[in-house]
Amino acid sequence: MEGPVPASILRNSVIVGAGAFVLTKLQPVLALSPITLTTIVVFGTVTALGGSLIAIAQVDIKRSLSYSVSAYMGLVFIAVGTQYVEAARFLLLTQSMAMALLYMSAGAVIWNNISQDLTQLGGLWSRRPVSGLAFAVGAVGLIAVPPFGSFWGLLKLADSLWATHPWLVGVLLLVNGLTAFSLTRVFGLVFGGQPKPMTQRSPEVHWPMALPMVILTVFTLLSPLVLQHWSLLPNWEVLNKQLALLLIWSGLLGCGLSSVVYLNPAWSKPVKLPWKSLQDLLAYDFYIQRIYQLSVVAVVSYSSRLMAWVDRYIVDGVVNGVGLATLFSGQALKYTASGQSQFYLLTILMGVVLVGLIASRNFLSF
Amino acid sequence: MLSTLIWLPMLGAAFIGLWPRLLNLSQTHWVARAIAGLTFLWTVVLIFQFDFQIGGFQFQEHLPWIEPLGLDYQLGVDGLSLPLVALNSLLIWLVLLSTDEQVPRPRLFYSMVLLLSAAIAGAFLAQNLLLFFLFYELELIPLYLLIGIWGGVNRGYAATKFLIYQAISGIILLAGFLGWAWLSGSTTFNYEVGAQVLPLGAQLVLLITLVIGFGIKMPLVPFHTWLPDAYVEASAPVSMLLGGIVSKLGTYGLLRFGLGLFPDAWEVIAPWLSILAVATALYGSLVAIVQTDIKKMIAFSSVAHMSYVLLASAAANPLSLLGAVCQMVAHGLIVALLFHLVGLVETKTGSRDLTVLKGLLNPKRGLPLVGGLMIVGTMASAGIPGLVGFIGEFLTFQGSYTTFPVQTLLCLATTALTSVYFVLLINRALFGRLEGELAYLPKVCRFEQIPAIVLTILIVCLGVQPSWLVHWSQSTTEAMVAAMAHQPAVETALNSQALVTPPA
Repeated sequence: MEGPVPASILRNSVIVGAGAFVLTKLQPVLALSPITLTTIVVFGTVTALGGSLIAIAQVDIKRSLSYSVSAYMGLVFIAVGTQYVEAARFLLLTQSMAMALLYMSAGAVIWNNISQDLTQLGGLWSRRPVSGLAFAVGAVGLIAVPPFGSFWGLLKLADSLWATHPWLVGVLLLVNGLTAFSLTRVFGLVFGGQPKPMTQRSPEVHWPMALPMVILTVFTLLSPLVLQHWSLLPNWEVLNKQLALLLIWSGLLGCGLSSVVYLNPAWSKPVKLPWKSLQDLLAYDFYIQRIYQLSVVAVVSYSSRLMAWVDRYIVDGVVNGVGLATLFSGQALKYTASGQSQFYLLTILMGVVLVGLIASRNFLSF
Repeated sequence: MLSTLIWLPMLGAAFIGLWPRLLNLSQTHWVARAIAGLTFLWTVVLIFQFDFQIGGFQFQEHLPWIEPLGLDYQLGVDGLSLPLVALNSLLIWLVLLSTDEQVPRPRLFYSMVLLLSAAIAGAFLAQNLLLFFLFYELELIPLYLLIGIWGGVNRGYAATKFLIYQAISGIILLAGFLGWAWLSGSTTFNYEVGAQVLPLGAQLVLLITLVIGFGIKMPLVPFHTWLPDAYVEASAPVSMLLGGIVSKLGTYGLLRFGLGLFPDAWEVIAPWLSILAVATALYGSLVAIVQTDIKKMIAFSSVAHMSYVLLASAAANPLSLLGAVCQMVAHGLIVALLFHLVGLVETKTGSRDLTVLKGLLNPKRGLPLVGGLMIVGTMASAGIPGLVGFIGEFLTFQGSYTTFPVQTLLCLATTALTSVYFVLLINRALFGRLEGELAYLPKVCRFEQIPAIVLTILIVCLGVQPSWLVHWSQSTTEAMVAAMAHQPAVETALNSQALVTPPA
């Protein structure tokens, strides 16, 4: 997450969305193989749950948000794998809008505070009301809070899954709750609490950054109208109210628990889990980077070093060896050219005898 | 028509080399550039006269020379040789444009480069096997001197190694050609597609001879050890020519003579050739990763990328042969651009060592244009869509997948390795902070920029509009496959709507 803010906004809303969109386009091809679909669902589930858990353990504001993106992409994978392409695209649309807003807000915070480390931020609500509001609106747009965008996307997916894969609805609820927890945590750490040294002087951003943020905030707030205009909203009569309530409750539970911890000045921060290894596992995203280092990178690195050694000392060595052998044998043989005719005669005689022996070997064998 | 491409540079070389008192130094420089420029213009004229609908040879010239030997002066050009001839004229012209006027022994240098141009053009145009062999050997003389006189520290070793390898390649080829003529009872060495068909056993022996001969030139693992030394020790302009056009003689020869003269045997050994191509691609890519000398890295990457041409040739269907031609042109343009840029980096910083170079992309004090174009060149080499490297690799892999799926997938994996070493190169040399002795670098002057810019424009234009390149060769490659006559007609997928994943 070292990229500049505009790149981060685009990357986390449009670019990953483009990848997932290609996946939805390829769905008819993928559907030819049930194994592929199952694999996609499994990967989606692991990504969704893992991403939302890891997001909670991050101290970098952009990393935390980007793992939430991964979690939602996992949900999109689940939707594609279970062949609900409509739901996948719906969720993509609503999540990219909300995620762009969250990144704009996070970018605005980083812009004036230099730091993107959550442990160094805090108490910005009074100083940065516009950014704070944008973050809050982005958060309710991302998790299932009616009547905003992702509520309808998640509801559509949950409704479709309910009939065929009920256990995946559980995954969905869990991801929603964990994302709610994570976003509330980020909000609490950045905007709640007391100001830290890095956030003592923190004016609101200048208008070229604030204007798009405000426009997108309004747009996200108006998302129900937009969706209704495109007639993407379900009918009230056929709405699965139990599921809708479950979704809302999971989100509220996540927000509530997180508020108790992170909006409560009495709770000491940074929060430490009783199991340090679990916290490290999540903070270092399942050690995936180290796994890559030890597997793919190590294989490529060692095999290329081996090949370079073979090239240097064996392939090239043989060639140079042939050259050296020629030179040395020439050097050695030059001492036979002594100028003594007796020596030459002896050599010729020995050669003749040798040839004669070979030529007459048929007679000698008797 | 075609003789001009050979004799204009050759007479120019003689004129510059043999009448030294006639011209002063800077006039020599301009005359050499003018001759190369005229040759290039003439090539452009030829391209406009060329009829792309015809699959066979055009502008043929025939002059009996030494008839008892079967040696005729017979030239012709078709869709396979035309792109390579054009590449040759272009690169020679760019090399002379970018040559520093302060080059030591300028007259010899210019006449050698022009002689090289004539020899390579002759080899691509020759339709007589002996004539091809003559030009193939003639090209060694200027190259040996160019590496041996204007090269780096180890130039003597590199030039000698180069000469020994190439001479052996020439002898093996001569044996193959003689064998073909004697066994088929032909009285001339004139090359005609499908003229005489030999029994399979004889075809196999002769084809393997040719594969080894041209394999040294290409180069194929394990005949490649002359290449890193020669490419690295040669000066930047000579490396551009070695990598850009001389190596294409090997693949061109395989396609023209291997595939053309021995179609039945080609089909038998094609699976082995494809495995050899995979081995070469993996070997070159892996060895490139550990190199710290940029030129050596590009040299090994060139080994890997030339093997894609072999893979495409082995598959021998219309699409893959088209891919082979495109990959040859693409690789020629890309490797020439990269060697030119490395040459600039070396003249400005005095180093090609990745452990020393840093932060060259710095906009004020570094080499931003060189660095930026280097990124374009490496991206093109790694097969990023929109650049010409993608076209070559895509056609190659799509064509060869139908025949050799496993080998194609393995070669696709090596394009990922291409990204590995080029990202290493960019990350180490271009990013970071400029400091120490490298802090203030001299400016790059305009004549040094022109070749890089011309090559980049071509790489981008042919990448965006590949049909300009493809329709030069389409008729010829289709005719070549038709001449093999046992190939099922594979639909040219250029216009089809097949669902395919792009390479890398």
